[in-house]
This record gives sequence, C-alpha cells and structure tokens, in this order.
Amino acid sequence: MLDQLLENDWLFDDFSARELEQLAGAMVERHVYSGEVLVLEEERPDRLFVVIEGAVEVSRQSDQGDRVLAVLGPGSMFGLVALLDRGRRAATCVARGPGKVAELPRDSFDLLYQSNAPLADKFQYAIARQLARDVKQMTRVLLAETLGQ
Amino acid sequence: MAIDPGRFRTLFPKLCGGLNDAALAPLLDVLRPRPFAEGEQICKQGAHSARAIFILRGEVELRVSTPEVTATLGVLQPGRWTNAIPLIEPGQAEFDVFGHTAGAAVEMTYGDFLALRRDHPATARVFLAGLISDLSFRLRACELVVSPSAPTSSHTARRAFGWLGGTTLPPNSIVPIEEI
Repeated sequence: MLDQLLENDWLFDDFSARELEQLAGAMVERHVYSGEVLVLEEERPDRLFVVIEGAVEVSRQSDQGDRVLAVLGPGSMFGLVALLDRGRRAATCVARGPGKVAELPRDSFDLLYQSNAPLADKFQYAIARQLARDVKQMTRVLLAETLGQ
Repeated sequence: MAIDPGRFRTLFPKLCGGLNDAALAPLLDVLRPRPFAEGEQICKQGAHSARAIFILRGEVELRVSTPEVTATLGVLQPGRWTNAIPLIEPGQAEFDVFGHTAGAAVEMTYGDFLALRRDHPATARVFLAGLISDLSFRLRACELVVSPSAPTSSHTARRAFGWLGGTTLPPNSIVPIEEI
C-alpha cells in the first residue's frame, strides 16, 4: 500500500495515518525502468514525483554537455519548481535503475496546495522541507564552484 | 518596537499575501526586533539555532567563508531576508551576516515558526507560501547558474545572486559574478 510506503518518508513524518491515506489516494504508484525519462527539461510540468524505490538522476543540459546536479533516493520529491512557478521543467530526471515512484497529477497538486484543509498545511510544509534541502544542496555546489573549492 | 503592519506589508508583500491587519498580527507578534550597528555580526555561518533575518531599515552584508577564502555575496536591503531555511529545517546558518550600515531587522526562530503554525495556521500558511516562492526561485536560479545554457546564462547569472544580496556587489567581492 502506498500510504504505508509514504509513512517511512521523512517528508511526511508529521502526517497522521488518515492523512497519509488521503495523500496516497491522490497519487499513482508505478514501476520505472532503468533509463526511463520521468521529467524532461523545458517540458511543461504535469505532475509531481516521489521516489519510493531506487534512484533518480537529475541533470541539465549546458554549454559543456549534460551536467548531473543530484541523485535522489527514496523519500525525495522532485518536479516541484515548475509546478510552483508555472514555468518549464528546469532539469531532466532519469531513473538510474529499476525502481518505483509515486506520481501526483498537477490538478491534484494544485487542489492540495491551494486548499485550506489541515492536510494542505502539512503538504505545504513537506514541499518547503524538500525545497529547503534542495536549495542547501545546490547552494553548496554553487559556492564550491564560485569559490574554487 | 512595534512593527507597523502597513510598513511590513509594503516591505514584504510576498510574506503577507492578502492578510488583513488582524490576520497579520500573529506573525508580527512572533517577530523579534533586532537592531544592528555597522560592522556588527548578526548571524554566524555554521551556527546552530540560526534565526531568519528580515531587514526593515539599513543594509546587511552576506559573507561566506571556506578554509581558504571569505567572499562577500552581496548586500541585502530593506524588504529582503536571509537565513530562512532554518525556519523550515532546523540547522546551521548558511552565511555570516553583518551590518553593512546601522539599521533594524526583525528575526524569527524555528520555535517561533512552529508556534505560528500551531496557533495561527492560516497566517503561517501565507507566510510559508512566501518562503516557498523564494526557495523555488532560488533553486531554479542555482540550477541555471551551475549549469548554464547559452541563451540564458548572462541574464540568470545576474538574477542568481538576487536571493543572496540584490544586484549590487561590493567592489572587492571575490565572487566572479560576471563570469558565472
């Protein structure tokens, strides 16, 4: 059951069993194959992902070719930024091996993010926690490069 | 120092959303005044229990240090904030923050934010949406700078450090901003 898998996710550790069930009910769990492109840079976003099993590589095209920015493991949410700022995907996300993800379609994301229910408050906080972690990671990379570390 | 809701809303529109004075009051109540002098260290990089700093008056300077170098990242003016991540994920302060001029800020701790979420969820939700919007921009900017594509690199490089310190960098900054 997806709600039991989400229960082990640090992002959702303050969700009640009932709230996890509601969140899982809005998500679709599926297997992914090695090399499967889950998110393509510059695409319009249509869903949010949570890694359930396996690993997902995040990369961007640059003047020097593809650049791997991060490798996400179970419990990570990805595909957030474009859903939040209504822009295009900033990076490409590819399954590094066989695994499993949970997907939250954009309509459900918008409904959940903009609702006033207690579940929405916790979902918003989970998003903030994931973004905080991502920003810290990317800031480290950015500063290491600009400071020549 | 009582914080005027109208002035706070003008300085930090993203954090206030459409909150009226009554809904904004619980947020202003948990913010603690933090006057600062020129050159005073307000926040220490790596220190625990970091507090988010919201600038009301004057300017603060952000610096980051490695074992080899100290770099000035920029100068924050009124209406900007820094070290907000520990409000969401308690941990270490990202940067050193110094008074660039004398001025005044308000600060918020993780505990303050938890209390706001518990006691005034509607207000906390608007406030957090503002922080999320800023984090989202910052993440996109970081990704674009770390891995620039030709058509956007110049524009985004200038914007990328906007979340750190606006667009003006001190002349002695060692961050090669033009080259990013």
